[in-house]
Amino acid sequence: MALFDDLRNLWKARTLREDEWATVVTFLQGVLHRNHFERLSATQCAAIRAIVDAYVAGGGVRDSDIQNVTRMLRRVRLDPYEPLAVAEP
Amino acid sequence: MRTPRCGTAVFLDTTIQIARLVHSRQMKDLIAQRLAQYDVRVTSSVVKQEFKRRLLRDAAYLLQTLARVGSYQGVMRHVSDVLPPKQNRKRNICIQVLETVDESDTDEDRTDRLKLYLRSLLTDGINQFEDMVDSVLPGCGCACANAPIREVRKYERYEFGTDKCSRAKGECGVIEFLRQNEARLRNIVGVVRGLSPKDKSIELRQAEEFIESVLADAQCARRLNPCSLVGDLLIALESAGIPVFYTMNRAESQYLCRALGQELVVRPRNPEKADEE
Repeated sequence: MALFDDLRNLWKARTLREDEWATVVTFLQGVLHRNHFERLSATQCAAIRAIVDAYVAGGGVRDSDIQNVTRMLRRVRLDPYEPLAVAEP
Repeated sequence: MRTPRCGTAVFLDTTIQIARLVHSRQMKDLIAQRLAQYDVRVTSSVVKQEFKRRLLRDAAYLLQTLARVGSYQGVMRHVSDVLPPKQNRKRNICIQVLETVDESDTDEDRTDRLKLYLRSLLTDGINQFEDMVDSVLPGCGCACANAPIREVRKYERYEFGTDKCSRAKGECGVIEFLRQNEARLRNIVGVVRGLSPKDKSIELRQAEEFIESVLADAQCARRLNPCSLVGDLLIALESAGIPVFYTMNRAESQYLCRALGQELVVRPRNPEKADEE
């Protein structure tokens, strides 16, 4: 999958960008890893694309942008924190 | 899935709010299905305080440990060798985290991802908490809950403010709140006094003692640090008026809900089991 590979390459180059940018990249990688690409809805794909355009490919990313990204993902029922899942006791 | 009951509200306690953010997808889906039955989802200020104190403090601890030991593997060793079993939440966050973001990840990748996730949780977690509900009831106006998390040094040092009402600098409305809820306090203490010793948990005993103290003199409430000592009791009072109380903790909630005339719904920790009503 091209986007997943692109994100992987961008992640490898993370030291060239600010940490907040790398946070957006790892959020997207986590979301895409946990959700079969073919099963994403049109609105979910649109949200991912909007995040890529505005934050991954855009200018500097700030802390306040992280909040926008998590809101955009949650709005389309994608969970940015899913890889941080705590195992149930 | 049942359709929402028009005009129905559900109160979400700390265990549910934490589970909605960091438990497994299966657990989150089960909770979402339950919440879809109501058209208003609310929580409260003391739940926010507990969310900070339990989940976000754990995240800060792990981030500090990561800064000290320098690697994801090192943190994993630390949590499995040093942390006692009762610190399971810290252990689980660390062990579970990020193993599946990318199979090609090295330890350095995982270390960086863990840092970013934990920092994001610290800087954005309260926003997430508030976004996940329709309303955060001000309740007792917990000053500890409203103290912001301050990043003193990125990835290393975070200040949460105090979790003791007696030391809170902000405006704390707990004394007035308890005065307004005197009748409910009397109902609760009546139910708790009637319990057999085996049904009376340490938390319920503390709640009983606290209520007796504040009924005698409400002014003493802040000195007793209620939002950390008797959080369950304050949350119960804050939720009064909301018909349904949703929690993962039956032990205290069953008696508090009974005293306040609420319907209790318990989400078992085992995701294979259905909600208990």
